[in-house]
Amino acid sequence: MIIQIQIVLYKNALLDVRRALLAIADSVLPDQTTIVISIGDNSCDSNYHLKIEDVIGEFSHRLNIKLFPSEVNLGHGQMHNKLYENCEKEIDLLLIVNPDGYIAPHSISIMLEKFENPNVAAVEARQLPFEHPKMFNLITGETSWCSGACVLLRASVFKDLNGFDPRFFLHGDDVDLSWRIRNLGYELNYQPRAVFYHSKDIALNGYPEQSETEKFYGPLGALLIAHKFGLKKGLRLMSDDLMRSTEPLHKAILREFELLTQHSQCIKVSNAIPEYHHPWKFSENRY
Amino acid sequence: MTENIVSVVTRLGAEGFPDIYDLQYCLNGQNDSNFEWIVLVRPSAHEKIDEIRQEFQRTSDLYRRVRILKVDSDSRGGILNIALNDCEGSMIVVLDDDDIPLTNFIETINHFAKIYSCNSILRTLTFSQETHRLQGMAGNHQISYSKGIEAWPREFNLLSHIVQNQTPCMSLSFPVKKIKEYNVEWDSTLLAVEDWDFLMRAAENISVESISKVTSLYRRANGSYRSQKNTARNDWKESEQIVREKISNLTLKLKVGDLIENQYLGPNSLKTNENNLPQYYRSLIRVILPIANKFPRLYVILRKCHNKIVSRMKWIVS
Repeated sequence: MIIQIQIVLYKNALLDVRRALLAIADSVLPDQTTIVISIGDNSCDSNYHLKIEDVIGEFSHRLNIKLFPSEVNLGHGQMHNKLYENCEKEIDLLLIVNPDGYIAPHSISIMLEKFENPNVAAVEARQLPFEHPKMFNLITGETSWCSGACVLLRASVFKDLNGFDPRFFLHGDDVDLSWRIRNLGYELNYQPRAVFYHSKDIALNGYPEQSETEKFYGPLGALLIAHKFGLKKGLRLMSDDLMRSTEPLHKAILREFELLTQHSQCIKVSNAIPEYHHPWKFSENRY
Repeated sequence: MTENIVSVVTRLGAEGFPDIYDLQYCLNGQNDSNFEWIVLVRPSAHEKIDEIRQEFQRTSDLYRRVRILKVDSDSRGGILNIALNDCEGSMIVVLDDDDIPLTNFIETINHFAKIYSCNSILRTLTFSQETHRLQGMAGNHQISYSKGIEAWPREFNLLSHIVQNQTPCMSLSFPVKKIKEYNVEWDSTLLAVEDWDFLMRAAENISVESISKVTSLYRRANGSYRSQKNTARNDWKESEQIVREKISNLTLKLKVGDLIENQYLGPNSLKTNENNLPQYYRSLIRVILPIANKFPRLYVILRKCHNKIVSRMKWIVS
């Protein structure tokens, strides 16, 4: 079995990249499993690129790593698509991981167990130190979407769907992909025994601190999903929220949304797939 | 002794599995690696010592900073003194095996230790998090059922601490040199609340600095904190009483404003809403939640109702 691990960088701290690679090197894998690593560098910065090459060089004796620079910042999903297109071997599974975290030693093996079920197309690991609140079936682990921070995907399904939708620059592309996977009849799974450490600090409101890019691309992603899956009520409520706001950032989000959706139409999916219980949320949450 | 290295100390017993591995991953994920981790393996976990070593080796970068010590005593405070005498850091902090330090945990302690020249006790913020321990597919791991809840005061108030401990142990890092200078040790005879006793005796001579940064989560699995669940109610009460008597013999220097900001007038005036919840409700919820586990949607509804009740938990004066 061949697993391609994909990581997309945008000027991430070298220490983080080193830790992410070390964790892959330290991973406990089942026999007959081959790992290839494909890293996309969106920094468009030749100095940074050289430094990343040095970090990769430290692992040359333990890991098979390919590095792809880009002349423009392609964003998260489009760079992952490019990495997948560039894979040299016929891969079975695709592991997408964020560079601001690392995968725990047994996690790949634990996630692999779920693929014994041919109907499972994606498996997500539990995040530490702050677990994602979305609901999952407490007995089977079935869930409505998988976070792109750490998800193991069936490569054939990723290929059938043409990967991520490139209109999502940073956030929301994982929900979109998840719902399109379910639309093909596959299941998504949450595996609490597998762990992905995702660097997070917590604000005084008790929720993870949001980065500046999250504040822009998070709401934009939510609007795009609502538009794409024809969730008219959700789209109206979210747009109203942003229009009422006096923050210039929110006006900019609406302008970008208009631009991206000028000529696009809704896609047809089963009514049961979009789970929109509350504007800004893509699933029923545990709290 | 090296300046500004944090010594993290963890007591590990048989009940600490598999949570200890979550703690391992959280320490391996720190954005400041300037720390050592001393793991005190209590008698109940001695048979697992090979497994622990093997698993820790799998986070190879962290493993270089780990010391695993097999201890023969089960005294909660007594074994911490072994670490205090053996540690190489300038600050010492105790993390229980089910605690969750956030990414900034070590960085924040190191940063402020430098500012206060390792002469003060540092108190960062710990938020409480409701969790549920799931058997079966979750492998007995804790699943979160709430955001971080601010359950303890942001500012340290020495006078308030005379009545009851208001600081979980992972919020506190102690300056090792000062602790040794004043001969403060953990009380090996206490069956519970040894952290409160240690804090108060240390605070007799060393100032406590409050830092408004959240650095850890204290998980409340199935409605109770582990330390409270594993200690008999009478032992807990008895230990609290002993500590109160010890505190009455201390000479405590208050900071300007401590008296004004103190809300509590005496032990009998201190209550929490949670303690005010009827006993039948607390028993009922402990029975119902595990059963409802089998019905995911029902479970979520029950959990949300319970969280609403618990989230109203605030310190009040009657």
